[in-house]
Amino acid sequence: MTPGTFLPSDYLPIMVMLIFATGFGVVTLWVGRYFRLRRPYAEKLEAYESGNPPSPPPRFRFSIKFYLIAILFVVFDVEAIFLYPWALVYDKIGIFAVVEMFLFIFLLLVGYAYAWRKEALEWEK
Amino acid sequence: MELLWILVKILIVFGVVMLHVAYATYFERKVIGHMQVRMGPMRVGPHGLLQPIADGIKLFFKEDVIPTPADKQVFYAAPLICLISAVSSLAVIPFFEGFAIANINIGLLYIFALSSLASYGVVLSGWSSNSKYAFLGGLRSSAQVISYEIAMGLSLVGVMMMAGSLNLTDIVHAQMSSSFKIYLIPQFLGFFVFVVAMLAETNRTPFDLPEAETELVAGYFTEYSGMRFALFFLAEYIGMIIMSCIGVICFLGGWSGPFHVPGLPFFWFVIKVYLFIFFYYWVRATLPRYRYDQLMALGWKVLIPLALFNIVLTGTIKSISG
Amino acid sequence: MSSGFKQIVGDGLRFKPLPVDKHGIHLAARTCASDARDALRKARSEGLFMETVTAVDHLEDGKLELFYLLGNYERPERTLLSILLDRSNPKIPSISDIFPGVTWHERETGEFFGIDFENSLDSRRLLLPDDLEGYPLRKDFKPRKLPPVGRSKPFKYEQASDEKSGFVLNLGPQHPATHGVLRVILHMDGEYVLEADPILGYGHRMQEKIAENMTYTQMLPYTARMDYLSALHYNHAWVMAVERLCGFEVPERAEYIRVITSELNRISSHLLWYGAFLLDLGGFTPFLHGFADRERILDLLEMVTGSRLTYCYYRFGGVANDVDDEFLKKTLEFVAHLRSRLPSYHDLVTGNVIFEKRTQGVGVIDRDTAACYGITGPCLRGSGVGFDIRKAFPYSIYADLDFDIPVGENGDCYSRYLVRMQEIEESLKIIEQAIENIPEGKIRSKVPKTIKAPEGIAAVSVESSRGNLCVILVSKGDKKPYRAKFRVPSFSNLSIFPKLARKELIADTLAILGSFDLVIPEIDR
Repeated sequence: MTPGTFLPSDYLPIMVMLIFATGFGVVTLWVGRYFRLRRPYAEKLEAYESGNPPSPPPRFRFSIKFYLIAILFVVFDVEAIFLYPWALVYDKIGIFAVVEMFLFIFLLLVGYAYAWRKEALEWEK
Repeated sequence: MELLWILVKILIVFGVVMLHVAYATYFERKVIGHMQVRMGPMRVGPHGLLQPIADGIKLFFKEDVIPTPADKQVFYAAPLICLISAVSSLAVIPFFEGFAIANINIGLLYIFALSSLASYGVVLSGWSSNSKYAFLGGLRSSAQVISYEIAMGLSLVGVMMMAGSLNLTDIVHAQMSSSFKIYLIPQFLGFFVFVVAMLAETNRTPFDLPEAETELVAGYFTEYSGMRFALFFLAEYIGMIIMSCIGVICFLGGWSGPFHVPGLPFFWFVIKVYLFIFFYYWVRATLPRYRYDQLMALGWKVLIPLALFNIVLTGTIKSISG
Repeated sequence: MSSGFKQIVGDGLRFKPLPVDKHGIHLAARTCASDARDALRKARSEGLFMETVTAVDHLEDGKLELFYLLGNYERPERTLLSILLDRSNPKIPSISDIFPGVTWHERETGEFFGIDFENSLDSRRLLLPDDLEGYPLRKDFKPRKLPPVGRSKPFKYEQASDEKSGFVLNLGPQHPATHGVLRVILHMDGEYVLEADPILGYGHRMQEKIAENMTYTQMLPYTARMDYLSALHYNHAWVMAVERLCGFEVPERAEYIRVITSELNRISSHLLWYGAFLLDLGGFTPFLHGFADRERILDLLEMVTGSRLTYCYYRFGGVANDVDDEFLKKTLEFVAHLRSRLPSYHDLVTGNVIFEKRTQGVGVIDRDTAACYGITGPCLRGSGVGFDIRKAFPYSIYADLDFDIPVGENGDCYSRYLVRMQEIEESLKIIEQAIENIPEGKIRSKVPKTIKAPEGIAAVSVESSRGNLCVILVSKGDKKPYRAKFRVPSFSNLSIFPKLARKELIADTLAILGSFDLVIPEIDR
């Protein structure tokens, strides 16, 4: 199939598959309800805490140490997506593709080297 | 009529894959068992052959404990997200010549999209359980996604360049007509990056950080039990099969083989997929777990540069030779 | 004050050397509460390490006698500092600022004897429940009846009092990584540990009080229940303490048998640790490989002792049964077998990149810190200090055997791993030599049926799989020990954990915890 030939009907099976998968999950859980044992009591329903009395749920500000990397991820993920269409038509656009590649990857590497240099890839302690 | 045909195809694929998932767990326990000087399951049926079925029945009838502090709606939805994204990925896999539920031209992109979606299930389950271990597990999962996902996407760019398509059937065809027959040889760098990212994608050892048993008890599914836990489990194994399929399709030549096996067009495909699955188990029996800042360093400082280098290399060689 | 003590401990700060073969104490001194700090500060500057702090209740004198037992990594010498405190109001300034690691010992002694360590860094209870009244190791302690255990009421959530309390993670008592009923409260910042606070006592059985109510012989089986992974070393320490105190002879053949069996026990303990440590790091094949080989040791020990885990095999003046040629033959076979297996152990783990990344530079203990906390055993030798009781105070026949003490270089988890793996090889060497030279003869000397140890004190150490295990036995000439203190290696080794865990990732803290080779019932006693 050549790129650019978009036929919505090709996607019909995917739609059906999505519905089927959802249906399977929901139905198994729902049917199971009538067969499962159900004997809850207060202690059983506590959140697991290594055998200690439960402490307050973890609902407060939590310091994740990889914030900068997460930002970089967004940037790089978008750039990676730009490479896809280019890779697909690589054969057809000839020398332009090669020049483009070196330019693009060079730019990517500059940003990458900057991030590395600024220790954005390290964890803050 | 067409719809019926689609449904029949889906049922066949789903049924076959479910059977394979069941026996992949059996295979895993046997393989790892023998690697660890023990027998694996032996009790249920001859050589424990009925063990997966017994497990399934047990999980179906088990009590479904939903902790009081859990965020109910999200708690219900999380395993479904994982399952749906895993099962739906099956739609685009071509198991043999001309057989795929949906032969769409962005197959690879579709798989990426759904596998990223699966990590939402993990993150949400960790969040909604309202338990600390699950919470940490969910966070680790998000950390893991941002560590390997780019490398994974970039590792396959080389394959796209060589095949000129995102359609999985076309990629296999392009490989069959290429000079090496499989892309593993020209794309060995890409293959390496892909395999590492693949292990991280499916949360398997040595990147099983979100569920790290000895650190976080069971990680994101600490609070899940019975059938809900089974759905996570199912999703994980289907995910392994999907990733193995992608590896086979993009690097090992899909269903093509050294000779044609009459009547079994999927023969080579299954063999190759099981090679991957065996590799998963082998790694699990061998390696300890990474620490998660180390996984990030690996993803960002090793895999991404390698993948970029692979793209440049592929482009250069292609433009010189072509 | 009994006369037995006067022999040892003079008045004032006056050190007096003693025959070590009898008491195991080289220098003993008495000082007063106000001078103790100066004496201990001097000891600290000389590089002595704190073995333990304990006390004895002299009810009829109205006094509590507090002991500081100090060891030396470099020289085989042991110093006992004794302080008499008034029983009605025992008070002494804490030395936890001099020896940071002594805090746990002070907490334990404080709660058992009601001694008030003033200005202590931490004066909470360590092993006992908070609602216990009285001081159990005092002689006039009356245990109260426990209320029947019923189903607890449902818990209520408390809202976090303030933001600063942050993320608190409970590690244990029901957690896969704590290898027993240890609880560690981790105050976290993200995945970094700000503060680790081990909570002990879940498996506390008051073994030391039990010992006071048992005859020497009756106590013997209990010793195996403390550290169930090196039960024979506990047997050994107990029988040796009594033998030294009473002056019993042990026939040479019995000594050889003791060495062979206790080295087998050491290997089995190390093999289990090898698996459990890798399990903590996420690799689970080594566990089963280690177990498969450990099983053969258990079979061997079952042949001579009759049990597989909690042995009670040593007797005062010898061992219970003689070994036969089949055991010796099979043991030699096992030695050869394990030798052939060890390279594959190393192949699986030692060179592994992930393993090295996870353990190198993690949990570094230097020599000086080790001395503050009284670290012994493989944990200490990983830091490059070759202190091993088998060489420092050669007991049994270890003086006649040719073996090395493996030491590490960096004091990190990786060094501790290597030291233990090399120790397995050394133990194999010891077993081989012992089997080669084992003489014929009696296995038990004649000892009286009812053992009445003469008045006195003995501090006897053996090298258990985890380090310096010391039994301090105080006798007043009765059938029962007046006081028996078990100085257990894991207790001191774990006491450094809060310091090492600070500012580490949770994954690293578990690697550190795993590298200590803890047996929790040993700590809790």
